[in-house]
Amino acid sequence: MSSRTDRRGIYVDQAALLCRKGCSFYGNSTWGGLCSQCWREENHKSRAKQIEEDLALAKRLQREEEAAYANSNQGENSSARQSKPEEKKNSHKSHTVQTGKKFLQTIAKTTLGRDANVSSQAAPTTSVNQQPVAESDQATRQFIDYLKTLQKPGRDIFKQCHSFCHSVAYKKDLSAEDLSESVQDFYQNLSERLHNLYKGSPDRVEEVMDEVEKYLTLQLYEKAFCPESADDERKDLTIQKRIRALHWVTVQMLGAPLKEESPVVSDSLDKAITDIIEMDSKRVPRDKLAYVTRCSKHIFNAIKCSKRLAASADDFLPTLIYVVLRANPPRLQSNIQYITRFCNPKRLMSGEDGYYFTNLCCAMAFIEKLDAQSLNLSPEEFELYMSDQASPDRPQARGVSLPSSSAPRTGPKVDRPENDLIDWRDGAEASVQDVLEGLHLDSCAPSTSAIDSDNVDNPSQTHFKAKATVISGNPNIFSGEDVQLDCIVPDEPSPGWIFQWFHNDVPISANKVYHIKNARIQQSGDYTCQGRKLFKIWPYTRIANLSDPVKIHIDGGWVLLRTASESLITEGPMTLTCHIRDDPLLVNAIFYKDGIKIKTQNSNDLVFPSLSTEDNGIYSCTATWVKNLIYQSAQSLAFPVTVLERLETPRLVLVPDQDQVRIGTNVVFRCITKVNDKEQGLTVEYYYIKDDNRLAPASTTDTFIISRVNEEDTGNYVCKVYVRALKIERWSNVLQLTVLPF
Amino acid sequence: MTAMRVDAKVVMLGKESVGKTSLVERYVHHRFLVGPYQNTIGAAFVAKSINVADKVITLGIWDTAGSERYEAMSRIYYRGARAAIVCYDLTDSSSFQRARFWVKELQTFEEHCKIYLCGTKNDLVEGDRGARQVDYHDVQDFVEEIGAQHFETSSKTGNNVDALFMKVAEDFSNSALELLPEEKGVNLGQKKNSYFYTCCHH
Repeated sequence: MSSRTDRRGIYVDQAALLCRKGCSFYGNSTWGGLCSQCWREENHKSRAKQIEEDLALAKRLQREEEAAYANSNQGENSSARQSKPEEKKNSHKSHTVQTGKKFLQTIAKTTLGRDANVSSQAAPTTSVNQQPVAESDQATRQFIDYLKTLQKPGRDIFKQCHSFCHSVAYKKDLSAEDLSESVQDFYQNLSERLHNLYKGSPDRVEEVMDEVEKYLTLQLYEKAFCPESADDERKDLTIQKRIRALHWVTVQMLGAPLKEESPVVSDSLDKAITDIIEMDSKRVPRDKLAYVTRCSKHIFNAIKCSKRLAASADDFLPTLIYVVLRANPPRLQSNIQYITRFCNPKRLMSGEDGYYFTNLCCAMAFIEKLDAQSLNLSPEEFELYMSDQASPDRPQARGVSLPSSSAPRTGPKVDRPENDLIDWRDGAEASVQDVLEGLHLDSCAPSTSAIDSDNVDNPSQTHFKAKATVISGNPNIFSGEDVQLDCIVPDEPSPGWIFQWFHNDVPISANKVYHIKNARIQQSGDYTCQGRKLFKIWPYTRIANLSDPVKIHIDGGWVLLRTASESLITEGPMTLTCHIRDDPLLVNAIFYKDGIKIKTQNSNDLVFPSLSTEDNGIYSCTATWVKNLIYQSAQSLAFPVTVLERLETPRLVLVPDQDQVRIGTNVVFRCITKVNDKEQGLTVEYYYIKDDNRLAPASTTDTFIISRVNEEDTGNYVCKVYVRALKIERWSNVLQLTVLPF
Repeated sequence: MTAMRVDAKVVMLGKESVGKTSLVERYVHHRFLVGPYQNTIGAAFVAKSINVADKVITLGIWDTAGSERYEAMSRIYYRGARAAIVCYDLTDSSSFQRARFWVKELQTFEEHCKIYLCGTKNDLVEGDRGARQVDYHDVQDFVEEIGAQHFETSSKTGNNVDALFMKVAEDFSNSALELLPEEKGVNLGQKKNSYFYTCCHH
């Protein structure tokens, strides 16, 4: 592929992804770095040990059961007689126990037989396998504890479940669909029986069914999840690759109403991403579904905080698709299939969990079938992006339009019709304040800090930011000269803003433009502004945060050094002007950098055609001029020059800051950089590399999450940022991550 | 997280911005909000209990994405639904054409699903007769032809909204009684519709 040459110095070490046994399939860390085939082989050997343990457990359970029965039998009998003297019931009970006993004995025999067969090839159990054994063991115990509370029917249920498990567990060549069908039939039969038993309390039935589902799926997990017979694994890889290839899809293309630049929104999205990834770590369908639901709730919060409206399905589905694309959840197909096949169907059919799961199925179907049309792109653009030859503009970009063919989405935007505006100076402030105090301010409140709470008392809390600019004159002027400052809100340029100017944090003016006329030296300092907009309806006010300061220097002397450009960027030009009060006739100007003379010339302007960071320094100038036929000479004050890199060297950090993490936790990397370019909103591509191996395809997000780290994740991490439009790449520091055992 | 047990799945179908969400919002919370819904986090799924005769029926109301780009997936949504409320905007004739599309789909793939056609934004056409773009009688003819129910509602005034959902619940309650003797439990009877495969199987 041609794009490969573009990415010099980065490569994916295929070997690291492949099965440890070298069978050319992809390995998986949850399978100890093996592919499913090899893992199954290995696992088969360790089964022997599991069977042994099962046998021990079965024996123990039998003893417990017998003991429990012996104790309870007398007590129960007498109490049963008191309340319901039914002979039939009692005889039935003893019958049950006998068959139960017999049943357990037969298991013991069959497992013994198997044990003898496999013990010859018994291998040491790996830690990977030990966990499931312990888990299903524990599950059995919990299941029994639960069933004990149901008295006799409980024993019946256990017997049925246990025998069902064993009837399918050792059946060879059972296809995934067959297994699913037997399990679903079992669910249905049992649930019908339970409905007869607990007439009129369907909640009880569902409670029991939940426990049954948990027990069965934990027992059958190895067989049921990503089974050999189905080609789920191949599909998992296909969809994973597909999602990687779609890394360029933006929120706008999907029409998801997200303001990713807001910290609360991106925080909610990160949580949603973590949850959908985490789904894979659960083994019971219901627990997996719970993670889908959690993910969905975070998505709703993200939409709500972006839109200030409750989310509808029209917002939710695109956002879920976006989250799935960003998360690239492990074994997505296998998980969806597993839930579909082995979850209690009623839960999938109608309940809330079912709703979100259905949306997840839709999201996956959409991703599989996604084409140019579904993203409102032309086929040419789609091809370009897919082949990695071009990259769409960064989502946050303003003033950067997508190629003409992409119809602008008139999605729900925050822009309000202007007739909703009311005049600030109408004294509406007081009433607005009253209303605000009565408002429920809600889950958009940040867990950490800054967000869009639209609170008048807290103007620092929205994602809009005012910008102060010099519109005439120069920030460096002589006393007596003029300069004009303007306040704008670049992210929300519609009219209706009411501005406030500050000089060194002291409020000075409520006009949009602040005019410094006949400047005095005392007026030097930092000028900042902020904006606010009022509405008749909620959210009533909107705040544009305090701008970055414009530094105004008012010089009482004769000579000053200044530059006309607002920002100085590497490879860009700079003109230093040695400016003399009243612009008299210049004789010569001498320029100094860090105290060393660099140039003497007879014009005021010193031009640097292409800056580099080596041009950083403290500059000054000495000018000689003629005024009233008298030669005069004076030196300027020092003028610091800071050249910004067009693409700042990224810093790779962990959020929260740490260098050691515990096994099993989620690790969030952030690659912090900034583009300083005249052109706004250039896309930055982020690459994450561990020990010289690239971890994921390029993404446009500065966040990289490893869910549930294990010891193998210990290593040296770096990130690389690349701006395709400028052909500039920068590498970050090396971050050493140590994963501590649990 | 104790999820409410749901008896029947009801899907809301309809073009974007016909007012599916507002209809549910009006029904569940008895309100119509021009601005933001401050306390609802999401109105995409709601479980609502209704008294029908002497029984309590819980409807699980599923909102769906109406955009055409998700049309191919709509089957995944309405599978297993006992009722579909197909919404169109009385002031937008194209929304009724889309409604016809869903009706056809439902008839083809989901025969046990009862169809309720619902013209929304009735308040707009009551105020200004010229605003009406979908003729009442045309819809009535169509509805009779397909054996569906027809409602015209206003989420703004609340007009006819409760009646619509009440009818849905009553119909479900009656049909559940019919089905019960042979199938024993309504939802479980559909377990072999492993329809989720359709989205993931190719």
